[in-house]
Amino acid sequence: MKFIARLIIAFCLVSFHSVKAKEAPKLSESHTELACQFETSSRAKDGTQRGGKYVWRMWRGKREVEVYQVGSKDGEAWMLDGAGGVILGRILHPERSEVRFDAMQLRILGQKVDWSKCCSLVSLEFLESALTFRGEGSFLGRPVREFNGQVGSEKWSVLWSDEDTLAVSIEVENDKTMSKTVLQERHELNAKPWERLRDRGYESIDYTDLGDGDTNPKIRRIMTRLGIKCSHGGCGPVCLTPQP
Amino acid sequence: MKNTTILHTFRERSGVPGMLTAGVLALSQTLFVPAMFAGPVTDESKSAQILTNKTKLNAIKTQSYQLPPTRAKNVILFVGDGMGVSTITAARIFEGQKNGMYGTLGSGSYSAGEQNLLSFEQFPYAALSRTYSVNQQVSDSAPTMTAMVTGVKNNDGALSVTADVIRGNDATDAQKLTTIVEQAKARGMSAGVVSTARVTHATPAACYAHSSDRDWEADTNITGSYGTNRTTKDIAAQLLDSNGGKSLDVVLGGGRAYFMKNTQADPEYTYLKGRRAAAGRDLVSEWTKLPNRAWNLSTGTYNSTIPADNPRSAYVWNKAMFDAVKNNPANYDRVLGLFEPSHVQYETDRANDASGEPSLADMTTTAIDLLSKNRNGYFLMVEGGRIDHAHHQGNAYRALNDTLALSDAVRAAAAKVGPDTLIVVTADHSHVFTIAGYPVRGNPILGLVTEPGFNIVSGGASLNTFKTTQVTDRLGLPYSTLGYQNGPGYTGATQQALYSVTSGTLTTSGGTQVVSGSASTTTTSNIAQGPKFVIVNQPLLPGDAGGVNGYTTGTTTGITASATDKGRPSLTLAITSDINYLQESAIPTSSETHAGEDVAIFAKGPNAHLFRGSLEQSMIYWIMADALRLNP
Repeated sequence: MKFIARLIIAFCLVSFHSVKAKEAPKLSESHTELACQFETSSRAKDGTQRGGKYVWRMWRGKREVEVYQVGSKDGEAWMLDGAGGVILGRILHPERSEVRFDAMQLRILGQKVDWSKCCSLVSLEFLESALTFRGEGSFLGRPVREFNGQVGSEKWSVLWSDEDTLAVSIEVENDKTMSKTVLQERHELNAKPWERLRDRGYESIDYTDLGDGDTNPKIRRIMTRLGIKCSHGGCGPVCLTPQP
Repeated sequence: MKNTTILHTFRERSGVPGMLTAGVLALSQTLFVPAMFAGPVTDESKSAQILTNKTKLNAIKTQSYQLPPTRAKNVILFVGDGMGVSTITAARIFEGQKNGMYGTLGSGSYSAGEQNLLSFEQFPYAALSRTYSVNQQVSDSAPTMTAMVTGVKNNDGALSVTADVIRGNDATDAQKLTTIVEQAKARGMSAGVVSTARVTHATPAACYAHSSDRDWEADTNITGSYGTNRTTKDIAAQLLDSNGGKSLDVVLGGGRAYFMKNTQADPEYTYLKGRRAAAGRDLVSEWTKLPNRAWNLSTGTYNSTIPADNPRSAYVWNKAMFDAVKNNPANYDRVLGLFEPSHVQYETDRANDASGEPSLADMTTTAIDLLSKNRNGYFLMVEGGRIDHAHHQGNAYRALNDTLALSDAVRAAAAKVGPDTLIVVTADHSHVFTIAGYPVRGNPILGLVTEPGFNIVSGGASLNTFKTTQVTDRLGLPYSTLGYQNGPGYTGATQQALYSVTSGTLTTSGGTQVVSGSASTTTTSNIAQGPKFVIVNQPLLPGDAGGVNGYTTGTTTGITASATDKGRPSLTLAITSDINYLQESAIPTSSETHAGEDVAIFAKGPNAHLFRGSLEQSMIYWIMADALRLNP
């Protein structure tokens, strides 16, 4: 499980180094609205027991992407704020709460959101610049394009659906591990194949306010579950969306 | 001409008596002023120090014979949320260094931000405030602000209710503590709150609301956490309904979402919604109709006939709208300004806000313009609310910058009001924020500790000469002057990385491998060692020609990190002055915590002389109320 937990890191967050004045990028809302289920698995190449698999779901609207990990019942949501920024909501279902990191907060924590990756798992720009187009095929009965190549010390192979602007299969291999994320089910968002627990009306809490809530038992539980983590890669929320 | 300009700035900021200024002017005219120093100058020779101190002694003696009056028409209470003494000290140095302040000794010149004074540090009276609450050694903002505006201490998280109310329970009328705002309004005075936090946040809320839980800021907060069977109104609703329906006159700050329904789109972040229940009250709309009320306080429902908007009750949410009020205060009786859905931007980031936000100083002076129309006087609370937030995140840069914003607001207010106004500046509590090591005078307050390489008295020293000796810990690693006892800046034993270079040289220093020789002049690298931003070849310290500790040339690339554990991180390549840098902490906590030591009180105006010695925090209320003759 620990190994899986290590794999569960933000794919939407990348480090950055400077603040740009009045940054208001035009973030695309053109993708199709979907409800998907993925399975992510990993294994160590040295034959040890490290590794595992888990199932997670994704609801993708025009302005919001929510993911939910079926086993742990944790989730997160990425939302456009309407002013050029993206908000991260860490959804703590057992606490019926959502801790929100606004665009400025994420910036202070050294994180920058790649909205296209939030929506598509990998960005098309990355595929076309870092990987090589290999051919066309189909996946779950839908047309896809295949890309692969070497990115640093990792070997990547991606099946990309132009129709859905979505990576439907991502395999990444390095000298120690292999991981794979594969689309299992695809539905129209309106089909509502699974209940979105967050729709039950969760309490929204600003991350900024956690510090002043240390004496509130609920906030204390949230801070424990939230797992703000400072590590080699930076400091910020432990995100759930799988890193392929 | 250059010296004249410098000294003018010095006089303006520090209020140094003319005799000293003249002495400094005479001396400075003989000095070579390095280009790196462009700000105020002080002379630290023996004779100048004696002259300065004698002059100040005479001023203090004169002041002690001329006590201020005891009756105030107006009171302004400034609260730097979390602004402990170490924050004041660091901010003072930070501001002095930003302004290019420098000292002289013999023929030498050096950065001297240490001698800077924030605006309120120049007030004639000061005291210490003991901040514990009834149930906590180290308090949060709710009981500390309650103490300051009601004169009575209570429990953590509780806003202006007595300590026998259990958190989450309703308070009876007898358990509600009358605030100085309510007293002022009852006497026909005007009242306002200004904050860079949400106006429903603990510090401003304690002025007007009574709640056993500071988190009940909107109606959905109460139902979400504690069920629906509560008689306590949410804090935003209390803002409009307090004082028997005579609302506050001026409310400026953040927290827009807490006044809007969750079906209403935010005007700035158009995809976001309000936080109030759809079936509940639209508080923004209600404000614009005051003093006519759409909401019936007796029945708890909207009146059948909703009054028309009153143009004298303004609601503004961006800088352009605010400026319209600022430029025509006579046109408005009451103003609600909510500039963000939650807290307003940090001062560091305010300029980046697309819709624009007024500064704390602008909000303060506009509030004074609006409130001072009342001949009966006013009570105004101004909070630098985000000092606390930046500290919680372990980000000293923003905490210090917001402290300077508060200092600017105090300066602007002091320049605007007359001698009939008592101004009090204090903090609600401190933070575990430290100024450590033995850094040389002029060492950048956000930098690594460097110590004098020689006796400063030898004179002729240049800034760079001072910075040759970087202090290291027992691991041989440098450390920053500023740090936290706990918080998210922890990068402990399991997170240390060693460096290697694909080409270049590795050396061992104190048991740790470090990059030496040439390094890339172009690569921007985020070296993995916790929340530290590393930018190769950026000047670490003002005065450095560029590069990091000598790594100024060469073409080596590929600095990488390995995952080897090794104590705390080396900060050799860290840009500790980066606005997003999180200072190191000793204990890993998700959020840095408050601290329990006393905080300072600074005062000027009527009754200010009563602020002396070590006071209970609740005495702030009693001295302010006495000045306004409000004491029960």
